[in-house]
Amino acid sequence: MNVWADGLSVIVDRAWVVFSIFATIIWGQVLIVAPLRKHFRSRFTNAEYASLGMAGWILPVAFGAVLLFAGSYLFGDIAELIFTLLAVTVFISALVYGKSYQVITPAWMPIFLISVILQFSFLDKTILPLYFDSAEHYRIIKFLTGYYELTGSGQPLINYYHVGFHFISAAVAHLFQLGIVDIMLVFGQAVLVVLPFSLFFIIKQETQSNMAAAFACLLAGIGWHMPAHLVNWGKYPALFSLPGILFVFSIGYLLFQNKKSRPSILYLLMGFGILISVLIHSRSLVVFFFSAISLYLTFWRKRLPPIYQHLVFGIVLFIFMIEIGYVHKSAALSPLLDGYLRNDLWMIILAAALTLFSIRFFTDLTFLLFASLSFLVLGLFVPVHLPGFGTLTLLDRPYVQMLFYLPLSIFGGLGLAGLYRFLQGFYYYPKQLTRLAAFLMFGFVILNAMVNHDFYPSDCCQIVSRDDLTALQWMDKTLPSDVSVLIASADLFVTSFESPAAQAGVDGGVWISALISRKTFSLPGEADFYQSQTHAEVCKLGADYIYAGGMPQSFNVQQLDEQDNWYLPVFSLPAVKIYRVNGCE
Amino acid sequence: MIQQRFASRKSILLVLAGILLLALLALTWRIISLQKEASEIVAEKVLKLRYCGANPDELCILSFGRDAEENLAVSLFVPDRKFPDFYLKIKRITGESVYECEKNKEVSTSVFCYGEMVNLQEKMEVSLLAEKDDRLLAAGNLTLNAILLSTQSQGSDGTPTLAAGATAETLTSTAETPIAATLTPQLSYPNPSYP
Repeated sequence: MNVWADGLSVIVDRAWVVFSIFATIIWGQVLIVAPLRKHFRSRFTNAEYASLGMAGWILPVAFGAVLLFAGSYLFGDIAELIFTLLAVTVFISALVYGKSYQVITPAWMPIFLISVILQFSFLDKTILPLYFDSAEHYRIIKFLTGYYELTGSGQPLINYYHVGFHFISAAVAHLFQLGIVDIMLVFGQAVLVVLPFSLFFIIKQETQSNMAAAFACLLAGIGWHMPAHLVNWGKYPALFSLPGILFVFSIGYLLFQNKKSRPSILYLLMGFGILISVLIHSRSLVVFFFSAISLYLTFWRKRLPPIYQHLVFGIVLFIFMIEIGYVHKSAALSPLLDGYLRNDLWMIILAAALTLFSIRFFTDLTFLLFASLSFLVLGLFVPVHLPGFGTLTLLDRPYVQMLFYLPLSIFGGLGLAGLYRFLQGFYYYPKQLTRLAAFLMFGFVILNAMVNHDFYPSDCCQIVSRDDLTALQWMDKTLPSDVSVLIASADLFVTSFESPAAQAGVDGGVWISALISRKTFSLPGEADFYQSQTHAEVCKLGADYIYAGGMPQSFNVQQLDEQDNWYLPVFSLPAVKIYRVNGCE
Repeated sequence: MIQQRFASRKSILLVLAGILLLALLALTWRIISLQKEASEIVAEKVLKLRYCGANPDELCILSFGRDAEENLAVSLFVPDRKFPDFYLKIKRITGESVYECEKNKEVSTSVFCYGEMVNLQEKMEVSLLAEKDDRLLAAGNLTLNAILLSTQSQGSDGTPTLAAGATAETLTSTAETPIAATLTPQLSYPNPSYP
């Protein structure tokens, strides 16, 4: 396996999809940067504007997707033509009047290209988007594209609370005539390419150091298993919420900087950013809420006498440590820590060391980050009862695990800037020491990535094999459209409050409903098919067929084979068997 | 004057940007010509059909299967998305059978072919022919040795695992030693969710 060859091969193979996705991102970038450039002009560098664009692109894209959907639903095909004309006009206007020609600075181009090749190597080994979440996302996008293709019926109501990603994917799939699987896979990797650059703005503004900002971006890109691991989980809405969150934070920072006169454009963009982020992932609202409280605490702390400022900082750190202790003790939540300690131990050590300099030289922002982290972890323990969804928590473990990379990367950037300031106080060779420090830091992160960072799909989450695809094709070809299929599931276990009723698919069966529109029921994978009670339950569910995939938690085919009076094999491949349910009176 | 012109940082950056743009254009041209070459190669060369390994990257047969009506299901891996639509022809002692093939709509590198069952121990010549003009695209000689029921065995910790060597089908080509059928990773499944 050669990650460079695989990445290039994917880009060649999927050239049109890749082009379409990046064209969409660039369109969004140009539109969002134009009003900022118009207002702030030469106050920021091209790199800072590019960074803002690489976070804020999702706002016009999401808005455009919703607009296009509404227009197509209400007015049909003509809306698509009008939208396309409007999109091109607005794009050209933004380029001309906003002067936002530069979507990426020349200095970033080589890093950008390397990142594209590395991130896209993931797709060389991917059959379908990974894990069970992806099947649901596929189903919703397919449902929405049905309205574009005039095959959708009734009101477009979706029983799902993160629809922004699906609107964006459906719109792009329809406009560029792309397959849904291609959209999901390529868009996810494209976001992973662009996302690290969006951290540049805040760090540069705070530290006035390009190196420190670049270091934070490097950490965000290849320092941690997050956010890249999100595509292994199929958590595309969570991934797509990150640019919006970062953009809101960047605008928030600008508002904080412009205390004397706050231009209304910033309030508009912030409101718009919050709205879009919440549309894409509703838990973004919790993140913004906690960040606002942390910001208030930071301002409050600043007004205290210095000794109390240190005390408050210490208390927040202490509370954070206690929370980490509780997370470690919880079976549902401990994977959050395990993930970082197992995959990113050396980076954690580096970030911890650099945090000391961050505390020394950028105390306020460091305090804000620790306060935010404390609230994020607290969110894991606050129960929320939602009708139809049962008892959840304000934030779940995968979401917080995803977010942790942000403050850790910022600690790294601030810490490096702090280390520079520390070294510049040295009498002997301060400049050379600073350069050596930068070289060592960058080199350490890159070396760690070469050894530990996996650009390929993780074995944890590939629940679909090619035999599953063949089986699904056979089912689509031979089984009536109104049959029901029993698939294996396991307990969904991401919060301490999860009820046993929360189940998740464990094998390729989870794609039956999405890909071939057959109804499915689920039963725990460890169901004992020797038992007549199990057969009675299967009959009660109304399942006509049973799908046994090749995953360790799939149904036990030995049991099914030995009960052939109840379960007759109708299709078999090495990794899949399908049985017809008999004997239901 | 030239020195002054090129001394400014902006000019240097512009030149670098120009060089990068040229490099991008060259890369794009190379990608397009590679794509053209690949499709031409596919058009001209008769590929050897064989059984897939663990990480397929060439045209190959992933697995054989069967259904209750004694039809043979053939799963193929096709690396090139632009590979022409094709059908299978299996020539045996008893005669020749044609198998309709269908690309997976979402994953066009997976192809499913379906048709008459092949007898065990029968040598067969498998050919891939283009649907459009019946041109021979690939061929291979294979023997279907056995179609076993796929079994899962419980590991010592109770975790179900695929027994090593327990494959649904095995087949041999006249030139190659048998390769195990499609294997799934023998890793314990996540608990809790989202590992």
